[in-house]
Amino acid sequence: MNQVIAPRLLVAPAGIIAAGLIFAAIAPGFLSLGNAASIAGQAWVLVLLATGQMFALAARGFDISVGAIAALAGTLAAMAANSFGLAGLIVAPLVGLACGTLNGWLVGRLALQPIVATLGSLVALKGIALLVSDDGQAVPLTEAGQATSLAFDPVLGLPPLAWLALACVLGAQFLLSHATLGKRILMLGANPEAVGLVGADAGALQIRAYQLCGLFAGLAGALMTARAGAGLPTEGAGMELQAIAAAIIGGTALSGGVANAIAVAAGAFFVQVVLTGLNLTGVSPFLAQVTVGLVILGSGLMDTALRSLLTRNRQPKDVSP
Amino acid sequence: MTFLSRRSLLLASIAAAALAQPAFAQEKTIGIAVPNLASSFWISAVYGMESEAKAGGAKVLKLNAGGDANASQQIAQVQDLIQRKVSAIVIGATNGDAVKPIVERAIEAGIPVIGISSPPNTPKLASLVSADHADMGKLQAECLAKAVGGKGTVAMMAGPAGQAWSDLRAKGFREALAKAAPDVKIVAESRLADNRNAALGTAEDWTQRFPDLAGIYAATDDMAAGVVSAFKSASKPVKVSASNFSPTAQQMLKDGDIACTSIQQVVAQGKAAMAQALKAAAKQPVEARVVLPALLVTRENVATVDLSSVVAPADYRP
Repeated sequence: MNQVIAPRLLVAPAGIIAAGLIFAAIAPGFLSLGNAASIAGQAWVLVLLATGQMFALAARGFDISVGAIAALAGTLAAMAANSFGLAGLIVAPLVGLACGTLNGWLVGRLALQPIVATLGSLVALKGIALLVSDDGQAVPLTEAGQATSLAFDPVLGLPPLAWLALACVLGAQFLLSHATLGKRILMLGANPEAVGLVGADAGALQIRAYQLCGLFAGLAGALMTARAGAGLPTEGAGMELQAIAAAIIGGTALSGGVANAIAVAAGAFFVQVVLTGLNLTGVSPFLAQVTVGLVILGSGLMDTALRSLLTRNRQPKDVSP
Repeated sequence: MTFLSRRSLLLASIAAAALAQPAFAQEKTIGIAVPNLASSFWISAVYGMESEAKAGGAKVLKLNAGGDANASQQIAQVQDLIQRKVSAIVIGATNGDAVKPIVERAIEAGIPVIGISSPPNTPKLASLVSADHADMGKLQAECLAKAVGGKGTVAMMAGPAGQAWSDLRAKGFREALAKAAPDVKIVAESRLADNRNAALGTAEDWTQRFPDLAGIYAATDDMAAGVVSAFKSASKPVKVSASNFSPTAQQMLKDGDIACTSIQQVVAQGKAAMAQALKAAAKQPVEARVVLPALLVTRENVATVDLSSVVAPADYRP
């Protein structure tokens, strides 16, 4: 197991440490166990969205409909939960899977450009969410107290739903590193022609990648609903971009073929650390927005810098086994 | 290797500097969570809160959810405020239902919460400060009925669904219009637009769908600005009534683009909410309900209205 860690996977952890140190110095209350627990509970919506996005990016695709999928899935799940009890939240990943299947079919079978396909879904799904929810009214859960307790009250350090999300992320990483499907999706992203050579159907793989993306967006929707104690049909705008940013900070290559779910989760945590840190410092909210933008740019630069540093340090004596 | 050690040295020194910081002074910090600081309303409200906090010697933490639809963002922000152990929270909710659980958690954690304008949907608030929104809709109806001469058709740019303020204003408008001008018919009510651009888009459609519109109700001045641009560029004269009083609204009033605007004393609301927050933070009794009356501003009385309780100075940046 003498695996060399790719420098791009180190950007997010390095970012978390740097941001943590900076905010510890300037933001009162940042460096506390309570705040660490709070961030550990907060970031999972973004983690799940970014993990889903990672699958689409790994297959050299792109999904800008994840926020809309999460909103629709969360809304329908809230309705289901009100009819069948909290177990009805399971509807969210199913809705996500269905939306992902649609996206995958548009890209993999009809050969639409990913941005066109998922932009179309984004707009249409938002519309559906408004239609099913009485003009975008939130759908309050009848068992809101129980749902929010699952989302906020830590059990062994993390809220139960965060443990569930963590398990999903580990599952995603296992899929990428050990399952044929994951390896084929990475292969599809790295070298689409090679997929045909090993006898796999590129279109079918694309559908699978978008299905996974939709599934994770649906899970994020369920989590959003649990946190709010209500289905939020108009939620999710801008989340797709945060998810893409987190996935890229987490070392996912836009050109496909490189992805690591744990690094992507770290990328999402990095974004959350920055957001929370800025919230605690009390700087102008506008300045906070600018900072988040700069952080995304900065992590792009850090990737380049880390790569050149590590290649310079690594003299001819290579570490190959 | 030298690179690594130098870097770890640097990190260690930053950490040391962080730990060496003196414990934070125990002055009161009030958390402010608002839905959207791109809107003139919340800028004026936050201005009122900040000036009241300054007068009371308290610090504020201003958090902006960045849009009425960003409930998840606001939930995370309130979580941060709880974490920060602020002395009180003043909140304008993105969505009253969605932020209810987290706000109740804040209250359970011992932080008094004051709702302003669009409150979280919970009975446990320490205090609720708002304008009389139904009255604002009513004042618009009376003014618009007069402006269109008591007949014809009107449309309503009624603002986002699910917000108490927009629902109450629209209701006040409909009820007062039926009384003031029974012959005027409402042909459309849009609940999708919540900003200038979206209102512009919807109003552009209206110039085609309802070419004979006599009047338009706009739930806010931002939306009225979108409506005015759409009908101006379509060269269709229409009477527009609005609510709120940003610099844009003042200009439109001077130019005769809008007939009138019913305004709430936004800065005064912000001040009142912060005043309640400071009392609650000091464990003093608070008023459960503060309602500030609305005013109607027309071209005629615009010069005489006292603006300091209504709108933040033009150079104020949150």
